[in-house]
Amino acid sequence: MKAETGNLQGDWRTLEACWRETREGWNDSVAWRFEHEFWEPLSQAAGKMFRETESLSERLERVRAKVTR
Amino acid sequence: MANGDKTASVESHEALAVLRETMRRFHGNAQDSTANLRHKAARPLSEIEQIVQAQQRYVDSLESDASNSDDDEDGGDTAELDAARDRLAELEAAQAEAGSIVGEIESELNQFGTVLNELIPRATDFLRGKLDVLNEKAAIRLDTASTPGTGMDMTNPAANRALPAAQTPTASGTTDSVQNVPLPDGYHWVPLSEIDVANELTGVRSPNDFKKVDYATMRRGLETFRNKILPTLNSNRGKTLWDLNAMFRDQDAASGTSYEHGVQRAFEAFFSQGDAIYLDRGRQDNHFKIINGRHRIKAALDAGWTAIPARTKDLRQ
Repeated sequence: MKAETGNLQGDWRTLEACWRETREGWNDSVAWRFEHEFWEPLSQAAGKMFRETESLSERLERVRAKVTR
Repeated sequence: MANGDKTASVESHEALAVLRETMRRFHGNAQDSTANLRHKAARPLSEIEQIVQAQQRYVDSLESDASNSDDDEDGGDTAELDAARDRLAELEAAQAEAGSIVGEIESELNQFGTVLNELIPRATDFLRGKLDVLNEKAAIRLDTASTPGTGMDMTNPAANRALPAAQTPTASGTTDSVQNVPLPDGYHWVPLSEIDVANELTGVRSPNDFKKVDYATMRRGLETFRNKILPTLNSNRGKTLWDLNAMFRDQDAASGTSYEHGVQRAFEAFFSQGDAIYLDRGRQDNHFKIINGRHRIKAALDAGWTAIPARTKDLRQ
C-alpha cells in the first residue's frame, strides 16, 4: 500500500509543481477564480486523503502484525 | 465573472495548456492508483480472514476430540481448547477491527474519487474555455499573409484545396534539410511523423474545422513563414528572439506594410511565448501529444511540410 500511495503522492506533487509554476505567471482574476473554485478544494481533498490513508494503513498494518505474530 | 476574462495574461497560455494536460493525466493516474489502493488495502483483511478460518478449524477439531475422549484426559484437552478459543476470539476481534479500517480507507478513497470526478472535468473545461479565448486572440496573428483581392474564395473549402502545396521550408528552397535552418532558443524542429496526428487531430479534419482563422488564411501564413521568415532566420544565426522580432518589424516598416499584414505578426504566430506550437511526449510515449497548435499542424501537414517549429516537453529524451 505504501508503494501505491507513494506513486499517487508523486503524481500529486507533479501536479502541484505545475500549478505553482502556472500560478506564478498567471495573475489575473481568472487565476484567482480557478484557484478558489478548483485548486483549493482539490488540494484540501488530496491532503486529507493522503493523511487519512497513511494513518489508516499504519493501523491496519499493526492489526495484521498482531494477528500474524 | 465570465470565464473568458479579457484581462488574462497571454503569457500564461502555454502554462495553462500544460496545466490542463497535467490535471487530466493526474485524474487518470489517480483513478488507477485508488483502484490499486482498494485492492491492496483488502489484502491484509483477506489474510486475517484466512487465519481466523484456520483457527476456527483448529477449535472445531479440539472440540471434536474433546467430545470423543476419555474422561481422565479431559483436563489437558480443556486447557488447550480454552486457549484455542481465546485465540480465536482475539483473531475475530482483529478481523472486525481490520474490516472497519478497510471500510474507512475505502470511504476516504471514494470521497477523494468523488472530488476528483467532480472537480477535474470542470477545472479542465474551465482551462479549455480560457485557452479558447487566448487562442482566439493569438490566432489572429496568422492572418498576416492574407492579401485582400487575391481571388481566394474564403467561403468555399473546395476552392481552398487549389492552394499550391508548399514544400517543407528550407532556406535554400530545397525540400529537405529543414532541420538545418536554425530556430530561436527554446524552439525545435519536430518531424511531423513524431506527432500522434491520428489521435490528436480528430477534431481538425477538413477546412471546415478551421473556425477562428480560416484554412486558406492559415495556409498563406505558413507560406509567409516559409518564404520570408525562414530565409531570414538562416542568414541571421545566433540572433535572439527579440532581435529577430525587431528585424521583421523593421522589414515591415521599410516596405510600408502594416503590422496587421506584416511579417512580424507571422513571426510572432510561431515564436511568441504565448502561442507557440507546444508538444508533449511522456517517458513511455512514442509520439508527441499536441498541447497547442492543432490547426497549424494540420495546415502544415496538408502543405507537405515534414517538420514544424515547436516548443516541446520531451520526457523520452
